[in-house]
Amino acid sequence: MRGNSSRQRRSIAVAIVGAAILACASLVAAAQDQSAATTKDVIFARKAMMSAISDNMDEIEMMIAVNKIDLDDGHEHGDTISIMFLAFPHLFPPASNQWKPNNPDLDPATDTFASPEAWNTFSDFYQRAAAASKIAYNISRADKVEEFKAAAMQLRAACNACHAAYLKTQ
Amino acid sequence: MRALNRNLPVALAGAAIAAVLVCGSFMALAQDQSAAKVEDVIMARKTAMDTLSDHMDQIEQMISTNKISLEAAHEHADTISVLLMTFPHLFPPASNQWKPGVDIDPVTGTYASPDVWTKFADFYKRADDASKAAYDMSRAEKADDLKSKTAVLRTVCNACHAAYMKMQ
Repeated sequence: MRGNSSRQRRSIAVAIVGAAILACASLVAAAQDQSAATTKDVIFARKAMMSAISDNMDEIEMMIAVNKIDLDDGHEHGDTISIMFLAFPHLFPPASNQWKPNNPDLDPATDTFASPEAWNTFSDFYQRAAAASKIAYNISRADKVEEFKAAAMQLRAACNACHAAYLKTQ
Repeated sequence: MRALNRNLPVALAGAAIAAVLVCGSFMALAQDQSAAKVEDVIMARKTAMDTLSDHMDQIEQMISTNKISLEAAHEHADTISVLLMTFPHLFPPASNQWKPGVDIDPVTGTYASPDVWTKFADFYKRADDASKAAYDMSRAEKADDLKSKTAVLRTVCNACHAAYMKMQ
């Protein structure tokens, strides 16, 4: 009788373990369903996007510096920056937290300079990207040159502050 | 031996709890980014698609009116290429939310077919091919070159929409 009860308990325990393993395996499989999107790819994509944002910002700052402001053109650059900043913080999956100090052989395309702080304080990082997107949107809607200049200055300050907090330089 | 038999179920149950806790910690790690809401990523990818579509319109408009500025077209194509490079990374599994016959919010609801996730490797490759086609446009040195490469990108766009975009 005691033997039967012990066997039953063992069977139940084995069933629990089996179910737990299966449940975990299915959750992990679901989370890893996108193996085509490699970590190197997402790092490359976000670096290309930041470079494009920077190019668009350069165009805006150049027209301000030489005092030849074309609002139509400036609006287009502001709009592109705004949209890119909406997507940008979504390009930091946990697996891409790969910065290591004192690495002399960083690949310029696929290695990251993003600080681990981007993941440790992700909500702050996310909020900064959202704020930058809104400022860029304001640039894209500025009706007057002075408004355009002021919004561009605000965006530059936001860029610099975010880089100081989250961009590693070797 | 009998003591072992008595303790085995407890040990196994303990192992089960440990397994659940370990899995839970993996999940917590994977979900470390709660600030990035599903609605946000859907809106971000829809805005990105809308923008790259605007840029494609500008290029096609200059081709159809035969007023091609290669410099302007290069800039548009470059933006399209970068956006398409990031695009497939904006489809986390939790954003697989399309359901037939449901009112879809124009900003945060998705028209992305569930096939995006079931055939993700194909979806990813199409986005990559499109990004490369746009890159080729951004480097076209002659108007005819730009025209033929734009036609290639348009075909790639249409094929991908046919496979992965739901129309309600």
